[in-house]
Amino acid sequence: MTSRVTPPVLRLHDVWKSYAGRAEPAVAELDFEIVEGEIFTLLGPSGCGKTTTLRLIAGFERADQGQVFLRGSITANSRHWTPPEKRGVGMVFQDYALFPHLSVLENVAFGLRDLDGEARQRRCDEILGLVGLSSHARHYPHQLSGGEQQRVALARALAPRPVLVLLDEPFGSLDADLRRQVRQEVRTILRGLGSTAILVTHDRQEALTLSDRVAVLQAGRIQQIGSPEQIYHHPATRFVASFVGPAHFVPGQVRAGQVVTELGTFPYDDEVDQAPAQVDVLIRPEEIEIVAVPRGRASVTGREFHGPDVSYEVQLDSGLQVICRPAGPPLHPVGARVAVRAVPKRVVLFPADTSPQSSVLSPEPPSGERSRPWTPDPGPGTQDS
Amino acid sequence: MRSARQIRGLGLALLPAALVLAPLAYLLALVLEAGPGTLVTAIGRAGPLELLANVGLLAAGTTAWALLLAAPLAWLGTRSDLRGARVVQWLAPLPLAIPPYVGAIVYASLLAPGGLVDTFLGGFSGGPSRAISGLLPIYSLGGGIFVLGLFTYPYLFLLLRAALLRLDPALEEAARSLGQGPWQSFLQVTLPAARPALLGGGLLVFLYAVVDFGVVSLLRVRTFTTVIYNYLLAGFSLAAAAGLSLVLVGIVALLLFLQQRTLGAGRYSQRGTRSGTSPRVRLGSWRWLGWAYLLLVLTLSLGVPLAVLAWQVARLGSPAEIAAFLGSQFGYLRNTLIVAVGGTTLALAAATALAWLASRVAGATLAGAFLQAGYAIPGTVLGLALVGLYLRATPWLYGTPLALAIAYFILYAAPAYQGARAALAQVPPSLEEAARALGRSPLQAFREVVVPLVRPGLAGAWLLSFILSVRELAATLILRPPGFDTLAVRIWVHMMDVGPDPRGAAVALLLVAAIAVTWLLLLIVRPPHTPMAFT
Repeated sequence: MTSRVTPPVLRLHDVWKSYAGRAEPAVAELDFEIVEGEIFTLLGPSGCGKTTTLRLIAGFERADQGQVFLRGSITANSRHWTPPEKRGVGMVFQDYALFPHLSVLENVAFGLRDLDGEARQRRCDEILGLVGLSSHARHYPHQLSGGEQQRVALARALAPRPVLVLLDEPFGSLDADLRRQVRQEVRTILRGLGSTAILVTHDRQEALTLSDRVAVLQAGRIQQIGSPEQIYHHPATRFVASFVGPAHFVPGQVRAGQVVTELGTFPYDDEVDQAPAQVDVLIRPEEIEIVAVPRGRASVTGREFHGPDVSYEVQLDSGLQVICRPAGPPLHPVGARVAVRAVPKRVVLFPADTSPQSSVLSPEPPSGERSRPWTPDPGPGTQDS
Repeated sequence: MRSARQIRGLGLALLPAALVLAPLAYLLALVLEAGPGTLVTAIGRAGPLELLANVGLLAAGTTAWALLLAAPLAWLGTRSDLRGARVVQWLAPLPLAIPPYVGAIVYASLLAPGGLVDTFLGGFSGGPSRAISGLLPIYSLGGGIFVLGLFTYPYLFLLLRAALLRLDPALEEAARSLGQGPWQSFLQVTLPAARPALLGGGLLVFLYAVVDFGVVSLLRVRTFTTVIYNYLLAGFSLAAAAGLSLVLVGIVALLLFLQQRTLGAGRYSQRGTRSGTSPRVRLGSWRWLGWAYLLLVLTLSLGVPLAVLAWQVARLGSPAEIAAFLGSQFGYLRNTLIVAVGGTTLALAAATALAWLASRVAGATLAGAFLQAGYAIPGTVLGLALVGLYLRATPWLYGTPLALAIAYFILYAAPAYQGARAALAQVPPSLEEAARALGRSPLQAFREVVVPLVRPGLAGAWLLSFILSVRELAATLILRPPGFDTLAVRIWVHMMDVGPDPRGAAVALLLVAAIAVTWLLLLIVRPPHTPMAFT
C-alpha cells in the first residue's frame, strides 16, 4: 500500500547564494521545510542572510545552487526557474511598498485580476473587513497611519489566497507600543485564515511570541530550527543561546554526575556524552534566585524596576557578575549583601571555549523537530508495498 | 557571467560616449593636424593670457556680484521676520525666465552712448548727454559682470534658500540657548551649514560666466567663446579655435569636478517634514532697509528689463504695427519650438531609459555619466566641433534642423537625466517587486506602477530641458540651417547688426513670454523633489 505524504508548502534543499565581490556566501547549505498553516520565523542579526533567503523564496533572487520546491513542484533549480509573478507567493515588504497612486481598495484588488468584478469586490470587502480597514477603502496610502498601512500591505498580500505569505521585518517601522498590538493582530489574522507564513526578523521577542517554529541564522547558515521553547531552553549553540534571550555562561566543573558552579550544583547525566571537566553552564537571569543575607558572598550593584519584576545587577565576591531577574518582592536595595543561586529547569552545557559556534554538549534530543523528510511520489508503475 | 554583464553595460555607454567624445576627439584631431608650431603662433596671436585674465575676472566678478545679490535675499526670506517673505520666494527666481543676453540688450539699450538714459537726460540738458553712459560704460568687462551676475543670482539664491530651510532649527536654537546672539549663531551655525550651497552655487555661477557667449559678445567683452566664434566666422585658424576650445573644456571640467565634490548629495530639496522653523531675527527699524534692498534687486533684475522691453516695443509704432511685426516673427518661434521639442524629447527618452537601467544594470551608471558630460561642453565649442564633424562625417546632416536638435540633445541631456533619476527615485524597487509578487510581469509592473508615478517628474524634466534649449544661443548661431533662425538668434542678430533697437526688443519679449509660459507649466506640473538645473 502506498502511503503518500502531503508535500510541505515549501522546501529548500542545499541552497547557496553568494554576491559578487564578497568572500563569504550570503546563505549557505539552507535546508528546511515548512508545513501548511505554520508560522515560521527566520531569526538572526542583520547581515545573517534572512532577507536573502526570503527573496530567494519569492523569486527576486536566484540561488547559485540548490533547489526550491513549492507545494511539491520544483520552483527553482539549476535548470528551471519560476519568475515571481508565477509563484503564487505573497509578500509584505519592509517599507510596505503600497502603490501611492492607488486607493486602499485598488491596492488590495491589485492581485485579483483573475477574478471577475463582482467576485473581486467581494473578496476585497472580505479581506478589508478581516484587517479592520473597511472604512478606509477609498483612502490613499499617505492618508493612513503606519499601522494601518501595514495592515493594507498584509491584506493586499493575502487577498489572492497565496500558497505562502512572506513578511520582511513587517513591524520594524512601528513604534514600540504599537508593535506589540499589531503583532497580535497579524497573528490572529494569519491564524484565522490558516495561512502559511514566513516571517523575517531580528527581534527575538517577535520570533518567540509569533512563531510555531523558528530558524536561527548566523552568517548565512541555519544554526538551529525548533519551536520557540526548544530554541530558548535547548539552544544548539552558544550563539543561539545568547541571541534568543539573555544568557550567562557560568564556568563549572563536571564531577561524578554533577556540575559544580558558583551558583550551585546541578545533576548532570554524563552517560550520553563524555563531557570535559571544564564546561560553561547556560543560566538565564530568570533562573537565578536572590536572597538578602548580611554576610552573603555577593552584593547588588544595580537595579532596574520593570513593573511586574525587577532585574538586579549582582557582583559576586569572586568577581563573577550576573543579572538576576526574580519575579516579585522583596525589593533589594543597591549595595545590599545577598546570596544568589541558580535554579535551572534543565541543564545546558557548553564546552569551555568561547566560540559562539560551539555546540551544546549532549543536547536533549528535541522531539518532533523535523518531520520525516518528504520524498517525491515515485509515480505509477512502481511497487511500494 | 559577470563579464557578460559588464560588456552589456559598456555597450549601453557606447552611444552617449560617442556623442560626447566625438566632438572633443574631432577638436583634438584638428589640433594635432595643425602641428605644434602653427598652433602655438596662432594661439599666441589671440593673446591667451589676456583671455585667461578676462575670463577669470569676469567669472570672479560675476560670482561676487551674484553672491551680493543672492545672500541677503536668501537670509531675509528665511531668517528674518520680514513680512512678505513669501513674496521674496516667488519673485526672486523669476529673472531666470530672462536669458542673460536679453538682459544684456536691455542694459545696452539703457546705458549705451546715445541710449535711453542718455536721451532721457538729454531732454533736460537740451542735448545728448554722456554723463551716465560715460560713468557706467556698459560695453566693458564691468558691464558684462553686472549683467551676468544680475541674471544668474537666482541660481545661487535658490540653493542658499534651500540650504537655509533644510537646516535643522534645533541647531540654531541650541546655539541661542547656549548664549549666542543672532550674529554669532549666524557665524557659527548658519554659515557653516550653508557652505556647501555657497560653494556649489558659487561654482555654478562661475561656470556660467566662463562659458557664456551671448552676454560677452553683445557687450564686446573678449573671452574664449567670442574669440573662438570669430575665428570660426573668419574661417581661418580653425586649429587655433580648436585649441582654445580644448583649454576652455579643460577649465570647465575642472570646475564641474569641484562642483560635484561640494554640491554632491545636496542637490535635492529636503525629504520629509520638519517640525518648527528656525528662529527669526527681528529686524525692527532695519525692516525698511530690507524692503529697500528687496525692491532694488527686483527692480534691476525684473522691473527694468520688462519695462525697457515694453518701452522699446511701444516704439515700434501703433498696436497694429506691433502685432504685424510680432506676427512676422512667428516663423522663428515655430523653428525654435521644432528643434527644442525634438532635442528635448530625444534627450528625455534616452535619459529615462538610462536612469531606469542605472539601478538595475551594471554599467548603466557609466552611460548616464557620459550622457551628463555633454553639459560640460560650452555651446560655442560644441557648435564648432559639430560643424566640422558633420561636414566630414555626415554631410547630409549638415545644415538641417536635426543637426541642431542633436546639439541640444548633447547639451541638455544632463538636466533631463537628473530629473529622470529624481522621478525614478520616487519609485523604490520594492514597488515593482510588490507588483510582481501580485502576478504582474516585469513589463506590466513597469506600466502599471512605475509610469504613473514618474510621469509628473518626467514632465518637469522635459520642461526644464525645453526651456534651456529654447534660449540656447551659442551653438545655435553656428549650427543653424540657412534661413532657419530661432528667436535667440534673431535677437542676437538684431543687436549685433543694428544695435539696441525696438525690433530686437520685440523678439526678446516674445522669447521671454515663451519661456515664462513654459515655466508656468513647469510650476504646475512640478513634483516636490525636482533637482535644480544648472544654466
